[in-house]
Amino acid sequence: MYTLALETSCDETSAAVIEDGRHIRSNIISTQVPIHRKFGGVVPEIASRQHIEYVMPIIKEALDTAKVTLSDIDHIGVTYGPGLVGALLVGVAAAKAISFAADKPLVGVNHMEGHIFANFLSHPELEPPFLALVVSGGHTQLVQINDYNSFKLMGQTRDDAAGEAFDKIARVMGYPYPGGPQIEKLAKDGNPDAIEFPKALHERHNFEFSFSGLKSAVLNYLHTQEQRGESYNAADVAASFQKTVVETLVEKTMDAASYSNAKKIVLAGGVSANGCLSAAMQEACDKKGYAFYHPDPILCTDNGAMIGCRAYYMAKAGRFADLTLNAKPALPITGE
Amino acid sequence: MLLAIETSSLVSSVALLHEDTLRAELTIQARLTHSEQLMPHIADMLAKASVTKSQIDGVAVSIGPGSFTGLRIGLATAKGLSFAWNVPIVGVTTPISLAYNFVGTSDRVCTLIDAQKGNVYAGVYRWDRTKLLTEKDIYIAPLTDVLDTLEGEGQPVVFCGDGSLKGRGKIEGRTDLFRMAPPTMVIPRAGSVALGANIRFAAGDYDDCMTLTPSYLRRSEAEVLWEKRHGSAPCQ
Repeated sequence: MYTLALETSCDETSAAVIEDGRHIRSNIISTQVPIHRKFGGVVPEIASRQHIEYVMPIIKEALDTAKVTLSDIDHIGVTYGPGLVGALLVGVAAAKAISFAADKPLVGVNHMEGHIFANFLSHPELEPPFLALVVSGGHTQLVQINDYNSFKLMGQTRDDAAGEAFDKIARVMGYPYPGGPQIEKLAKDGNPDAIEFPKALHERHNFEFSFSGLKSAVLNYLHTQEQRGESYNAADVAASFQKTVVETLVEKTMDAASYSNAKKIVLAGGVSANGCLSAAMQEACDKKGYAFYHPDPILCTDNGAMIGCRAYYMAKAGRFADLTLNAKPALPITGE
Repeated sequence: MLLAIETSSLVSSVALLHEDTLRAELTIQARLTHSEQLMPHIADMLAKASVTKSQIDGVAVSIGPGSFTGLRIGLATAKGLSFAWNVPIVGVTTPISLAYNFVGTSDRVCTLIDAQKGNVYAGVYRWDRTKLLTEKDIYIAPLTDVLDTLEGEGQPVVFCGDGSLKGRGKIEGRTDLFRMAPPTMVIPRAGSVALGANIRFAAGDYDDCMTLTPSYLRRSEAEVLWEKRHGSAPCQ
């Protein structure tokens, strides 16, 4: 069974062909990161313009690379949220048109669920139930995955996402967008215990996150040093900030795991590419005897393959969309 | 049979043109989202007109200028259909398609598309019986400047497009030379997109569903701001 999947929720135009849900036949990704860099972040109108230009060639390349034609495809999956509305609309409109024209059932996919399902592509043996920590530029969520189509959101961020804090701090320190990887690189040469930054919502069994206080504390530190005319050690700031984020994420995940009786921990989303986070999570899981999974680096970014994997399991459950499918910029994780 | 799509403004319009017969046209102004309505409208129209998908041998689409998001929904849909059916696609600029609302009219046709902040994308056309002549190709200007020029030229003009509806108060009553198009002709319609595309289909002059993009005629606000601050064009 072949799934054609399309992802245009932010600054990557991507299409993929997945065989039987878990085997990647093609995963074509066109990134716009260099285009948005000079603006210091993703510009929605520019992102949408890139998507309409690249969407068809990317779909064709995904089919060609997979050595299949549209007639071989069994269903079409497309991200319909969360994300930038104008960007999502391009993928949704293209997917609906192809679905209608080629008589292929349509599946509307939640982008964040796609990130979690990226793990099924990297780990053939992985099966629910498990606990997932989803960390990206827009989201920080703890989700119980009870079955392929049964989820429960345990908690999420009240304000900034973890990745957002990385990007904002990098920007103030003068590093180009996206700043997350820059902070990680800097932190390698820094002392993580040099500066103490605050942790929010630290109490037991609180599965919500808040990173805006931490972000402000780091920005305050940078400004104060500047005003005093003192320089700061950028590597120490990056390392201390990263340590605070990572410890918060690991502690809350471990707390949620014991609370929900999870035996497997899964990391997902763009920030799961952070080596410090995955190493710390691995160590904590080893201590508790949990199995730990995180996606291959290419599947941590926004990509069509993960959407295809999610679409496959929705199609198997008969969860198809109709031609009225619309972009939902603030789509929550569904819970069923 | 040609399937035409027009979503460059708040009007949602789809049509089927078969040689000299307008087999169907569905034009709706209910301020509903194009995203939710466009594909269902196409599917409904095909069913109600007893046309099967395999009868479609070309797709025509309005490429703007107009609403950026509306254009992209129309283009993404048209390109997806063209690719999946493996039929040619032709993009028609919105002013040309509007001019096709007036085939054979003796007045000059002024198409006005809202460009925000008091500006319009203006185009001036004339029909030589069944031949469309472009008197002034599309340009962006304040509505009042466009009207001053046309009044000075002293010839009868009929106005259409969402820019004319928005500026109706400035057009009507200004001079006997000016008149607003009636409600059936003032809006962009897919039937006229099909008419405008027909000549190119007949000549085999197609666009490519891989590369066809909207004719925005305007950069994003972010790029304009960036240029103001940095003094040179970005993305080059």
